Amino acid sequence: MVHLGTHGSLEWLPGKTVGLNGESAPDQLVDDVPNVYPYIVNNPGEGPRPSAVPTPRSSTT
Amino acid sequence: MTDNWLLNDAGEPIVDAVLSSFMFSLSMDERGRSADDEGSSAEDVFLDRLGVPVFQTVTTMRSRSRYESSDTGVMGFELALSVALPEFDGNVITHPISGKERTDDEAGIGSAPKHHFPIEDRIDHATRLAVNWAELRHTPNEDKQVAVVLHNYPPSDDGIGTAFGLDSPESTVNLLEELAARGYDLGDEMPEDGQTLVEKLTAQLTLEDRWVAPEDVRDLSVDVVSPDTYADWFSETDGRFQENIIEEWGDVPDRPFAIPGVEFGNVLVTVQPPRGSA
Repeated sequence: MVHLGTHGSLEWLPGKTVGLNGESAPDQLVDDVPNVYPYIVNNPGEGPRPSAVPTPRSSTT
Repeated sequence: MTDNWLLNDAGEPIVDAVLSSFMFSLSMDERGRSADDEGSSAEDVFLDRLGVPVFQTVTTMRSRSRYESSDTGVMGFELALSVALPEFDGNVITHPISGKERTDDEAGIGSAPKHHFPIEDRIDHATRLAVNWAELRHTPNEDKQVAVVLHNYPPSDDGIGTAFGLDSPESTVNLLEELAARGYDLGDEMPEDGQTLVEKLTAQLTLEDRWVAPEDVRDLSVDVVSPDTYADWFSETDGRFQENIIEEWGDVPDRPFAIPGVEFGNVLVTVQPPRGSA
């Protein structure tokens, strides 16, 4: 799965902000599907946040 | 260690993925000591030589119950050492897999030692994720199936592919071309530019088409999910997650729902599902 650009469909869902457990919605929705999330990183305030869902983060500038 | 244990004589990795719970950044020291200002040695880090995904698991220092009940899964200095710094290495950050709690003072030494206790479902999740990534390495490119999900909130057609600073339709076309060049199956009708892609997307079912007649939905959508399939998927999720959903949204629906988007061979370009609308 590729979520192209901010913001993905997995953000701002119920659950923990980082280090998701099984109750957190993004964890249950994507589960163990490899997910890649490329986005522009020089978005002040939002770019460098840690991603809640495990994803290799290609941060293009 | 990488050269001795993880690479073979030809310098290729013999593992497909690595799960690491090591805090700090594994590469920062190497970069710091041997790197010039702009020298190439700054790039030649052992993790790059390994060339497989590295997943960061967090052996959190809080108890398991505090982890489960907290809004922030990782906090304080652990966020810096177990999330931010490993991310500097390019690791894929997963989540806590264990909690640290006091045990009984069985040895009678007058002090109860702390012990790491595994969180079973998190260990299960991290390993399944690593295995899936590892399997991808061995899947031929022409067999790989990809879904590219574009942002679409609020769910209007003119908002398809919103992304800060990024021309996402063009970027998607670039991505499709790159995939095709690497042997992925893109079918016969690849879009030549971003505009064409958007036109194809809006010609199909989109999130705006509330008034599409039911008999047309099947033709215009990529696929339809039956209530039975959805019920199966739902039943396999975490129990607490299910309870939260049912409390908020009611029982599993008995109507099918359609998947919007356009398929190019094995690659689907679609939009995110709508948030919170009936």
